[in-house]
Amino acid sequence: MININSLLLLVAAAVLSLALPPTAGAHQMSVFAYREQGRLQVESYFGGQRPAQGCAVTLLARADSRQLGQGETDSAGKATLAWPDYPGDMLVTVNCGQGHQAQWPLEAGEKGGETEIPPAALSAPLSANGEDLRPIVAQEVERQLAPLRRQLAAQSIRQPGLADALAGVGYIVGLAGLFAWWRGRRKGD
Amino acid sequence: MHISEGILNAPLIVGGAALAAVGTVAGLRAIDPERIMTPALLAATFFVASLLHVPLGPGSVHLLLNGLMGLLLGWGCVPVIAVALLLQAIFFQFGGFTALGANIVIIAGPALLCGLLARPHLARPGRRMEIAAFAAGAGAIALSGLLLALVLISTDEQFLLTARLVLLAHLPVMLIEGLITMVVVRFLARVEPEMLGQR
Repeated sequence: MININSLLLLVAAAVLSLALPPTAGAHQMSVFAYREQGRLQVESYFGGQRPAQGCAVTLLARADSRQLGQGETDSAGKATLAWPDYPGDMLVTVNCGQGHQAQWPLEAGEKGGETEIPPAALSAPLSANGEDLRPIVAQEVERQLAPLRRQLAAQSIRQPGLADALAGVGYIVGLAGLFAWWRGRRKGD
Repeated sequence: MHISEGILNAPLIVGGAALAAVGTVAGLRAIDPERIMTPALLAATFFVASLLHVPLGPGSVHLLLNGLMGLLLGWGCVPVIAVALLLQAIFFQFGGFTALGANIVIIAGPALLCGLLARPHLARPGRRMEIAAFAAGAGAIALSGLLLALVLISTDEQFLLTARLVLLAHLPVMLIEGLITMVVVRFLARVEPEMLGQR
């Protein structure tokens, strides 16, 4: 009968090493994108920490895969694209080569484009007229919302942790049991 | 080494899945239910080892231990790697679900090949056994990298460029895995020689 102590030791060492903070999740590539002052900001990471640098960014129309924009991530894993004049759903794809790619959907509701302030509104003396103030307020709100948009989008990045590792190991033990039972039953027939 | 969702075309997805399925069925037949704990523990090791990364290069590299799987399990390494990769896709979001078949072929294929080639040299403890173990551990990583580059030709990536990038990024992993495989085999030769086919 095989002594499994050495293998148990290996598994235990691997699981325990997860307790050290910086080890988890190097491989998973994630991307998120948000609108900031009328432009599309894209950020991409490996494992939620290391910026994915020099990766090709493409913006596609969901409906017909038409390319609406492209760019490349910088050393911080970020890219800025012009917000296209397109009414439908879009998809941001970041490809880092070697089979690493991640996508982020942009829904049609996220209307882009900076609200233009007509020059007349800027030169004319401000009145309490709501219509005159509207574009200025819209621009300010847009500016204030940008960090919030980023924060919301950044929350989508999920790093695997100890709970995920333990869950997976649990599944493996269960599957092994299932396999032994299934083969044992067939032998018994 | 895991291919993400949305990269492969339909023929590669289907072909990869078919090859992986054949290998998995063949591998399941090779596993002795009486000794199921060995493959199960190795599956757990492989599953968790992918979280241990070597921070290097623009991409990310992590331990695979596929050479060790092949050495210790032979054909049995295919279902073990298939299960571990499936769970990695579910829990860690490593690799896409549609790319699972191709990922199994890329990682389990070289594991199987290196395992079958090196296994006969493990029959007796000594220098020869250690070199064979190191070669299986490092060689499986190198072959997986080449296979990955080959599969990625289907996208517009150039084979030589991708192969060079992947291999360069995985050089430290090759070294580390070669050493780990050698140490584990040496340890097993002392405490559990029958696992290596020794008497």
